[in-house]
Amino acid sequence: MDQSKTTLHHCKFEVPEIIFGRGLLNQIGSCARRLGGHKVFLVSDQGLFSAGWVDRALKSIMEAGLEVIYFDHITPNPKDVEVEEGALEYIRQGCDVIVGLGGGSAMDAAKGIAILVSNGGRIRDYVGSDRIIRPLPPLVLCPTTCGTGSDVSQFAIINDTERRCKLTIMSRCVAPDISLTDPDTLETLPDEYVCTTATDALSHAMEAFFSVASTSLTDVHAIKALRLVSASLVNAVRERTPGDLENLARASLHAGMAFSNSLLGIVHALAHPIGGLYDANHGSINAVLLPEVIKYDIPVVTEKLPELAWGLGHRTEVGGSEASEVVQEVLDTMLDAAGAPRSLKSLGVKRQDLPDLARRALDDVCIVTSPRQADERDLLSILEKAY
Amino acid sequence: MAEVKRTRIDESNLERLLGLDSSKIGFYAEVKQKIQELETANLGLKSKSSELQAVFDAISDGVVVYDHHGNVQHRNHICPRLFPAQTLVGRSCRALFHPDTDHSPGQCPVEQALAGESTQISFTTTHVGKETRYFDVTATPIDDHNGRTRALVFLRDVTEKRLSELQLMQAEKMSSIGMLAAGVAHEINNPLNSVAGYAEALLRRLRDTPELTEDPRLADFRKYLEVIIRESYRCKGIIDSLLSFSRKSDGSVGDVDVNLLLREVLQLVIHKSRFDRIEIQESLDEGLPLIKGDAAGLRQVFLNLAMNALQSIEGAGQVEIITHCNGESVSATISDTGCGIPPAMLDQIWDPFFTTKDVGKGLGLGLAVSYNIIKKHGGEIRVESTEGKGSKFTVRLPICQR
Repeated sequence: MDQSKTTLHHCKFEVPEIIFGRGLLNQIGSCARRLGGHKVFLVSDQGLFSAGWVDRALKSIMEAGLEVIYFDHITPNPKDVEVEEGALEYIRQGCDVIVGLGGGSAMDAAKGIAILVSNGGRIRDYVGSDRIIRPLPPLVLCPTTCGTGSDVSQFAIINDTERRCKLTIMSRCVAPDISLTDPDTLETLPDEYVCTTATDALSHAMEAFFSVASTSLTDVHAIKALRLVSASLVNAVRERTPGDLENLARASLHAGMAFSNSLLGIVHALAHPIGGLYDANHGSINAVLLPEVIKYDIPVVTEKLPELAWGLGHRTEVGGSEASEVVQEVLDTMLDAAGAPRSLKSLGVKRQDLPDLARRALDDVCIVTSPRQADERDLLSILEKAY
Repeated sequence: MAEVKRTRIDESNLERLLGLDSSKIGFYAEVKQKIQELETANLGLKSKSSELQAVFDAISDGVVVYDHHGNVQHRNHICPRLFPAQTLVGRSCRALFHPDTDHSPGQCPVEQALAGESTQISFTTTHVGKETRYFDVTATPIDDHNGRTRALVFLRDVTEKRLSELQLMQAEKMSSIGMLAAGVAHEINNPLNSVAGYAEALLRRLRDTPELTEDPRLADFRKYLEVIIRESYRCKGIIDSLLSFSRKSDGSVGDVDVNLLLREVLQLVIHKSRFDRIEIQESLDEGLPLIKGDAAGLRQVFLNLAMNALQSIEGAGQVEIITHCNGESVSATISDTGCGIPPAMLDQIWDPFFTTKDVGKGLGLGLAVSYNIIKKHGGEIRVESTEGKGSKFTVRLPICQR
């Protein structure tokens, strides 16, 4: 029996309503109104405010005849205290719909706020899967980076400030009602974020493709995302052409749809504790870990490699061990060309923390769908190789 | 290199993470539950409000709620009977409490309640052609759901109570006179007995001893003694009638001889008539049946009417007292040739504290109390009067108590 094929007899593919297109930020108001809102709680960050996108969103909301409360007390890798503050503000102002505009941080903060306003308590009460018992307020998420996938996923990652770790909340409830992507917003995305968020999308696509829960429904999106990233990443970083940026936004969306329905693997299982401990950029951590994890996974996913090589833009059909070479080489080349960081050390990770990080990764939900079994020792060796 | 192992697929775990059952929680269940909760709450509110309405409707006093502007917001079903026009929803407190001024913070209970103070006042209403009614008013501040102060006003008709209080006052007065009289009466009775006794003894001596009878010097003695005896007995009679007033009315009902009552009363007032050169004529129907009634109360009524009749006459005049029976009721008429009552006052004479006497001379309770006593007997009291010619009061009492 072919062990690599998923033995699930049935599969489920669930995505929110998705809207994608240039200039669609002006639809935020009508989306919020369609969801029955009267008073919008807009979560965003100062960077987007400076770039003028927040004003665009506010204008759209007011033109739809809705009231709006703007909240931007959030930092990258949003903290539990920020989310709790936002929830209090939401309740105090009597809002009834949440719009998250930004990268993964703003969107996850919006998700966290949505959880707290309808379920109460503290954000750490919802760690793990399906701890949410009451429906969330209507949620519209608008990604302004090219990697997070949070706008279609059922994950919300919040930092626990007390225990310095990532809280992974997983529930279909935190998937938004509407995902709205306006690729125009990428024009103001700082250079380093184009690379790091796109590598996040890249790792989403690869891990989703390798996941034990992957199905043809998710593979389609994973491969599509890979093709878009491999075609446009380097150009987008160097030239910032609108077409390439739009491709990356699209790739992020496809990768998000894939991993939302097949989950991830060791890259994210390790990246979450590192992000929790160091407040480092999630995309950068993934860029460092991805090649090592792919190397670790390859022995158990050999039959998927030819398709992966094609997805990464390799023109000729390759098979077997050649495919594994091609995949690793293409990946390395792409990451280098895009200027992605290549070592944990460069991200400020301390060597003495590695065992602890490996231990913590075992508890992450992403480890469940890793194609190759890994224990603490395996994880530690991956970390050391990536150091 | 560690051993390569494929992940053993943990189906139940994956089912939990990605399975058919994991999906976004919709609002439908919650909406359904909320609707159910609302319906339950609504039923609760309904029963609560009908409960409150039942309580509100069962209150036998008038209840009016004034909003924070001092206008009627609600009233219960008693109000239309008491003050139909003044308590219409939307009417100001002015209509009921101070018709003459827009604001009367000092007196208006509603305005005081709106200022946060509970007040109690009493007021009377007089309508031409209607009897005076007495009301006790209690006004309490209550908050409405917006936190504004409203006034809750209770209007209690205390006319009956007030009148019986007045009657009690009058009866107290009478009986205190009676108590005095009783004390004096016993003190006077003994000397009078001696005077009468010795006078009778002297008279017997005069009659039984011929030489005394024939003594011309003693010719007038017999007549004198007879006068002494007669007047002594008259004094005793007066004292006895005084004593009968000293018995306080306890409202007990017994057989009453109206003629006897009138005679007792006459004995008390006759001296005044002599002094004032007023002629009193009695024409009492001797076949008068006994009636059931409160003797002390009726005695008060007749005394009051007789005194009024005598006091209305300046100088010489006549008072006529007639009793009569028509088979169903007994009537007693006391008429005088006094000053009479002006037509404008005819309605007011029954009001408590209405008096034409100078300050300090009368309380003006007499007729009001009389009216009440007769009404309790199921009878009626009527007046006919011509100004300057005199008045005629007729009391009609049913023979059988209703």
